[in-house]
Order: sequence, then C-alpha cells, then structure tokens
Amino acid sequence: MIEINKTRIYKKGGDLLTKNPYTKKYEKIDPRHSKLAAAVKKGLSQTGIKENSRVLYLGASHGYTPGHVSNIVGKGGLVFCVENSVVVARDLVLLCKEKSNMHPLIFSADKPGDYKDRLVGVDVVYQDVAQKNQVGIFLKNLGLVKKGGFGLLALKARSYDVSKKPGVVFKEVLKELEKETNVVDFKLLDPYEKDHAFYVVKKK
Amino acid sequence: MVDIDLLKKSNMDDARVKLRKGLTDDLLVINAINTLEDLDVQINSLSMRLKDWYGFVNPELVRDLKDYSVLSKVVLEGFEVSEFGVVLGKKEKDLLLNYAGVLKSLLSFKNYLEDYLKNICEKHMPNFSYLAGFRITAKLLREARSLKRLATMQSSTIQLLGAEKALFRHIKTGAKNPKYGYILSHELVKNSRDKGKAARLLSDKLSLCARLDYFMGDFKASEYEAEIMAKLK
Ligand SMILES: C[S@@+](CC[C@H](N)C(=O)[O-])C[C@H]1O[C@@H](n2cnc3c(N)ncnc32)[C@H](O)[C@@H]1O
Repeated sequence: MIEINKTRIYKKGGDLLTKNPYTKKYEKIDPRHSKLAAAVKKGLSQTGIKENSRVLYLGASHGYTPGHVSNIVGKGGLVFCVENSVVVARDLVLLCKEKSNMHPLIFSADKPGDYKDRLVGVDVVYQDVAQKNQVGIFLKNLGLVKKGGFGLLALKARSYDVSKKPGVVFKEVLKELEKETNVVDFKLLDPYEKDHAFYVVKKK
Repeated sequence: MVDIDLLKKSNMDDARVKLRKGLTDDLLVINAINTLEDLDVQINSLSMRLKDWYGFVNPELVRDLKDYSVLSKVVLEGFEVSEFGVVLGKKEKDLLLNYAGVLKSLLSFKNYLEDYLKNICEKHMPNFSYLAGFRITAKLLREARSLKRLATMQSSTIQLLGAEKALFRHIKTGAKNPKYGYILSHELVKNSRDKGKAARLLSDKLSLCARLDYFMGDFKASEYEAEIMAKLK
C-alpha cells in the first residue's frame, strides 16, 4: 500500500483507500463516485487536506466524499458539511452522528453569513455544488478561510453554462479564479466524470 | 477558545430541527407524484405480463381487451377457459389467481394514492390545482421544487416546465425550441386549435394562481378558467 502525493489517500492494487480513524479500517473510495478521488487518480499534485485540517465542505450530499475527508483529517480534524437539501441531508446527519469530527450544516452555501458562526478556523474549502453561480459561491466561502489556506473546486461545465463548450468554460473559470487566488493545480476528471474539472487554489 | 463538543452538539441540534421541519407540503406532493408515476409504470408492465399468462386460457378475450385495468378482475371473478384456450394445471391456475390478486391490490392502492394527492394539492394549492388538475400541478411543483419558487416564476417559464430536456437540446444543438412542457397535456391546450395561444393564456393564469396560493389569497381559479375559455372561443 502506498500513499499518493501525501494526500493520505492510499493505493492498493487498483483501489484507492482512506483510513477510518474510529474503526481503524481502510475504506474504498471510488473515483466514479468521488471527484476528489477522481482528481487524485488523475495525478493531482496536492489537496491541501492534511491530518488535523479543518475543512468546510460545500455540497456534502449523502456524505460519500465528506466521510472520506473525515478519514483523511482524522480525529484531530473537522469537516463542516454544508448541504441545503433536507432530503439528501438525512444520510449526512446520520453519518455525522457516527463520526464525531463531522458537523452537519443544513444551509445554502450561497449564504456563508448564515453559518459562519457555526465553524471554527477553517483551513480548506472544498466545493462540489453543481450550481449556476458555482464560482461566486466558492469565492464567497473562501472568505472564511485563513490566508494561505486552500480551496478545492469541482466544476461541472454544464451547470455553469450549458450553451458554452466545456473547454471554454474551464478557461473562463480559470481567469476568474486567478483574479482573486493563486491557482496551483487543475485537472480534467474524465473518464470518471464527463465535462468536469477540478481546481486547487491558494488564498492570496 | 471554542468548545468543539459544544459546537458539535449545537450543529447536530440545528440539523435535527431542520430535518423535522423538512417534511413540507411541497415534499408530500412531490413524493406522492413520484410514487404515482412509478406505480403507473409497474401496473402497466405487470398487466401486460398477466395478459401473456391469461392469453393461454382465454385468447379471444385477451385479444379484444382494450383496458388492461380490468384484467385482474376478469381473472379473479370470471376465470374461464375459452374454445381455443388451454386448461391449466392447478398450480398454474393458483399462480394466476395469486398474480391477479397482487395486481388488484396495486390498483386499489393507486386509487388511494390519487385521492391522497388530489386532497393535498387542493389543500396546498387550491387555485393552481383547480385550474391545472392535480397531476399537472404536482409535476409542475416537482419541476419548480417548491411553491415559493413556482410563485416567483414568470408565466413563460411555467409554460416550459417539463420541457427541460428538449430545451437543453435546443441550446446545445440548435434543434427546434420547445414551446410547452407539462401543460401540453392539459385539456384546454390539448383540445385547442391554437395550442400556442391556449398555452400562453393558461400559463398566465397559472402564474397568478401560484402567487395566490403562496400568499394564501382568495379563490379565483374558476373565474380565471371562465376567462380563458371565453378567449379561446
Ligand atoms: C454533485 S452533489 C455532491 C456530491 C458529494 N460532493 C460527494 O462527492 O459525495 C451536489 C450537492 O450539492 C447540493 N447543493 C446544491 N446547491 C447547493 C447550495 N447552494 N448549498 C448547499 N448545497 C447545495 C445538492 O443538493 C447536492 O446534494
């Protein structure tokens, strides 16, 4: 078993794994279900998520990737999981009950002001919301991160603008991000996700 | 220094309250229409399959049967081997009776669910569901995701709800742009000579209805209906 690029995501045979600090068991993370795993599999140089990191996770859904992020940061870290749909948040809340480093936040990521008092010292923002103003939401939430902190953005071209070609969207977004951050890595997520890109930025 | 355990407790409590409040009338309507649509598909395919079975016993009747919803009744109450039919063994006959019983109870559940959906639509959206009918109401609400969002939509958007796939295709490939979504199946639109005009008139009034229902206003839907009909004469 080897660790990939100091991400605390491990490779064994064809599988990617993270280690659950509570059960001490390794859990499979499928790049077809997780854009984080897809990006790492595509050779992402760094994620900024380390042991003891505090991560603000936007678009936490049922908690698949957030559960693995919770493994990566370990017992000393925290994952604040923002999800605005009550229907999918059910599973998320149950997962947060099992894992003490995960916090459920049923809020819209659009309005960080509504939940900022429910967080402590965030190091990394991870976003996967597949919404029209994905970039706006991302930049707003980066405001909650310390200087030098990381931002990870999984971008779905079609939600951003259906009328434009994905390649055009990805360049446009890159420019938008570069205005306010330092973009340190970029990966396309195919063949795991079609027309998706993954950006890693550092807060200026 | 923030006490992390206390923060966790507060965040869990907040989430629990939100989950409890989360079962809104919007969600009840959307769940009911989803279940109803699934049930329609299931009942349809189970009926077709029962038809295959019973076709051995009574091919004449099965060939001329237009409405499959009576099939379970026929099997249960009028099981009859026809001239060109096959006499089934006891095991096979029991199997068919059992099958027809299951189908019958699905049909009665469907009636129950339709009544439920109708009632909750009338309560949650009295104006809108009077004018649109409960099935179209529920589908439009599902597309809009909430009455609140439906009430803030322009009538041209309501007119297109349910046509999203065709709309994407239009934007991406330049295919013909869709003019209507779910409201095309409304009697007033379906039976009108000028579908465009009918769809426009209907969606105009529906957007008014959505606002009335969201702000709990008066009942005006029957007046609106009369207005539309007068203009379509
Ligand atoms: C593609 S899914 C995320 C999958 C998840 N990141 C994973 O890998 O397990 C996108 C989620 O974002 C949520 N979402 C969309 N808009 C949101 C918003 N404004 N605030 C919070 N969550 C949002 C959706 O409800 C959906 O559950």
